Amino acid sequence: MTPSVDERLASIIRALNDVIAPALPDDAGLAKEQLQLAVGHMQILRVQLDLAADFESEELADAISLASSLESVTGSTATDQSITKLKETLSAAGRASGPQELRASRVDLHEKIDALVKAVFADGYAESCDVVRQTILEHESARVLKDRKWLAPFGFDTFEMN
Amino acid sequence: MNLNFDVEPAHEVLINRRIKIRKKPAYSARKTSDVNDDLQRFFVSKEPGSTVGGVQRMGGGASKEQFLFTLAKDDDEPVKYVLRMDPQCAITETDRRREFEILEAMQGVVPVPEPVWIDEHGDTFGQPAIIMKFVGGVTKPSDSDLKVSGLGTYLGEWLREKLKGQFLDCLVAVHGVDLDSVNLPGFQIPNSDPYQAARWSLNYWNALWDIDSVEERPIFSYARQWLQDNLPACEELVITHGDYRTGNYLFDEDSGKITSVLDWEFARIGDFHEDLSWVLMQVFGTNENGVFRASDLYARAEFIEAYEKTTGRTVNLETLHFYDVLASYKCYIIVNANGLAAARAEHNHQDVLLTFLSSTQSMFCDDLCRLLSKGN
Repeated sequence: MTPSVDERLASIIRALNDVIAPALPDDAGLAKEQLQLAVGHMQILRVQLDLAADFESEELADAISLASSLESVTGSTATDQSITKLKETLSAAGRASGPQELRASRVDLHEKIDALVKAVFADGYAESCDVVRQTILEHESARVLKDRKWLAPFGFDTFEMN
Repeated sequence: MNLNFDVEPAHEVLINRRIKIRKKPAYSARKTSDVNDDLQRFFVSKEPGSTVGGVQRMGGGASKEQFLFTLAKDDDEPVKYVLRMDPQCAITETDRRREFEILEAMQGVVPVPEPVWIDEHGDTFGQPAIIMKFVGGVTKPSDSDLKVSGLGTYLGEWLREKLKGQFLDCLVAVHGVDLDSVNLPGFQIPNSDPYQAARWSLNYWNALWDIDSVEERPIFSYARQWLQDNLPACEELVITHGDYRTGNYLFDEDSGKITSVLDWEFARIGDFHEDLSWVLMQVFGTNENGVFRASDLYARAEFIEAYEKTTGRTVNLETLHFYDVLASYKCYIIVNANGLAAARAEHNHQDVLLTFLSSTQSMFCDDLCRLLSKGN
């Protein structure tokens, strides 16, 4: 049986805490701080390790959902061109598999959404601008709660999921 | 490169520097012994016959490398100084010359460290650096277990009552400086276009995002558009601190007296609302039993009212809303683009801290969703 990633991380954390930390000189403030952060980071990685794949899949699913909601936006040439590219990217995103492809697809979708926002507001059709605004706010307000929950173990956020 | 958008000329230099830095090799934290050697060399010409001693790294902060040391000459008592220097690439992109100038300009206005020497281009220290006289004090109570939660510093009732008036007075004093009476050659004053103050700020941050970001974010894309479409006119130009909040001033724990206002690197000439919004950011405040206090000092409405009463100015709530959005927008750029880019390129002395801090990005996205849901 091979050692699990969690077991390996646990051993590294223990070595850093029990062996490395006590060996640091009293005046090595930066090294101590960096060590604490490194240990803290690895502890969070242990918590997130088994959840990371699902989290990234959901990130892409949310990006696809948002992009799909924006497909019907209308405007003049700039908007139409952006919509065409968004649709192409959406089609490719639906076929993504594996962590790297999932991430790349999300990045690609976000880039196309960014281009669409610029195009729609450059065209200036009030109704389309409003649709973009409402759609992004609605989707992102939900998405950001998931992100805050995911990043809560870092300890900066007072967020608690009800 | 010549930027084809309107930005403060001094910031254009910084933007170009940020672009060039990316090609440099990895950076390591400076060794105390090397800094000691650099200081010895520096003072051979600056203060002949003086002796450098007690060089030690200072903790805290996410953007600069700082070292405490003493300088002694003849039989005089050694004087404590702070060497504040840029790492190769930081979570912010700012200029030590401007920081030196603003610290000089603020002498006698508010308590600030006295800047004494500058190595503007890093000729001695390898990186741009300033040397200031050391000022005693703390940025948070020594019993930091008092902190409730989040990023904000919890001061407690006694300190809060001691500090809140001084906190406001210092900001009011900075905003009250006569621009014609100060010598700030590294700062440019926005011209007669009343929208330029806001535009300069937005364009500077947009440029930093464009240099360092690796992924767009829909709420950020919309926020950028909204900010461009809602630039407020500036009715009165003032010196702004840029990062005014609890954590960026020192105080004496026994007396509760502010001993120094720190971290002037974001200072510029702009709209006072920009400072007010920064003060009022949720991330720098505390929530105790459902009560929000900006910098753990003031409720939002209380701070606005106190500022208006003290200055005689009227806070324009639409302008404040613009700068509220811009404040969260800036913070998102700092932690998600600038900090991570510095870490990714191995250009900082504490990459792991920058990566850790990037976890705050979702809080700023949440701020943007909340603020932009309010409309114009």
